[in-house]
Amino acid sequence: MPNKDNLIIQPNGEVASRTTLLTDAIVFDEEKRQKLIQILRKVPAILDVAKKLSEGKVYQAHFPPEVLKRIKDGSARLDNKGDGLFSAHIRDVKTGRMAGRVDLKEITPDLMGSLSELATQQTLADVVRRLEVIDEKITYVLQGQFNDRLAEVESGIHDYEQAVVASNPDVRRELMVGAVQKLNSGRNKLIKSTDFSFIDKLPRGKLGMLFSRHLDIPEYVQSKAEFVVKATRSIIEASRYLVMAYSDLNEPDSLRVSLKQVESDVEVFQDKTREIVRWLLPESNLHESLTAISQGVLPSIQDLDEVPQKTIVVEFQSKEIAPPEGV
Amino acid sequence: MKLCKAELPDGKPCPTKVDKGQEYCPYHLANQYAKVKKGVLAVAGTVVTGVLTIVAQSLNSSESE
Repeated sequence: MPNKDNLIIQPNGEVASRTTLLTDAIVFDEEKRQKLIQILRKVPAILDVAKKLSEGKVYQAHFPPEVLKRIKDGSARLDNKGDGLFSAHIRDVKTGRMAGRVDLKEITPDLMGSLSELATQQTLADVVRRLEVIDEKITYVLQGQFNDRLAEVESGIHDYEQAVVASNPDVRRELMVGAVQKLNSGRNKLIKSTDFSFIDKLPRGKLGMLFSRHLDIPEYVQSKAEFVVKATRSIIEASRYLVMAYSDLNEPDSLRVSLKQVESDVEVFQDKTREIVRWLLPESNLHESLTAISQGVLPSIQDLDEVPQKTIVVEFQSKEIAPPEGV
Repeated sequence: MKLCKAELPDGKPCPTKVDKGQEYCPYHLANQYAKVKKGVLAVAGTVVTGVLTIVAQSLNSSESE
């Protein structure tokens, strides 16, 4: 199965591996890249540079971390010195050579604020993709067992799906808020109510194992572990939709708080899952799924904190920003 | 913490850590005892079946006499 986490769509339609690109950068997916192109078109300095670029070649615009930092602390507003620090670099993707530099002092704070917002949204989209990868790993061992997924999380997902297609902004917001409430509540209940007590009751010594009422302890653990995986799948789904809902509401800080609230419970959840893994056949699918779970059920809050430290990279062709004359 | 002494079916060593004082991970230790218990049960089952067969046969022969 392809690892979506590592794939991005380039402007020429080709799918490229994210790992072949910069690791300390935010690379936009096609939808957000198009939005950013719209922003870049409004900047005369970028238009001037784009007009001078060769047609047909792919370029990358690099916005250094300094740009986001200065948008955040407001100092971008005061920039009128044009000292070259507050600028974006344009590189030829094929040769890696610098093709131009864009002074950003003339860009309005609103425009740059949109860039910052897009960077946060892209980070959240990357978080969702990572959760999808874990979800796929777990789904593999749960084929045919979806029917009794917990109703509250499922209902939250339905609200989210209705919200994204709602044309009335008020209805959309109302449904999105409802989805957030149900997803948060459903996820928290699952985290608190998943039963791990069986793992503490298992015998550890040889005598205890010999006289245990369970004939085959690993088989018993496996039957219990399947329920844990099922609950975890719902937790991950709830988390995935919560990230998307908070992203849609443009409230990354609320997402941060919602994650913080369940952080300690999730740590216990992951510790217990790590313990279950030790009772399962190391090469089994269930072992692999639970190992993935024990490494992280929730998106990392760190991802959001790191946004201002990353370079924003956007690929484009000159005609996308400065259409040829007569078009 | 030590690693488990058991080998996986592909010949690689088991990567799971053991509990204090044990040489095998919980899975491999419990699996050994599951095999022992299943073996004992199978033997006990065979013995009980054998005894019951002999008893039934002796009852049949005493009835026919």
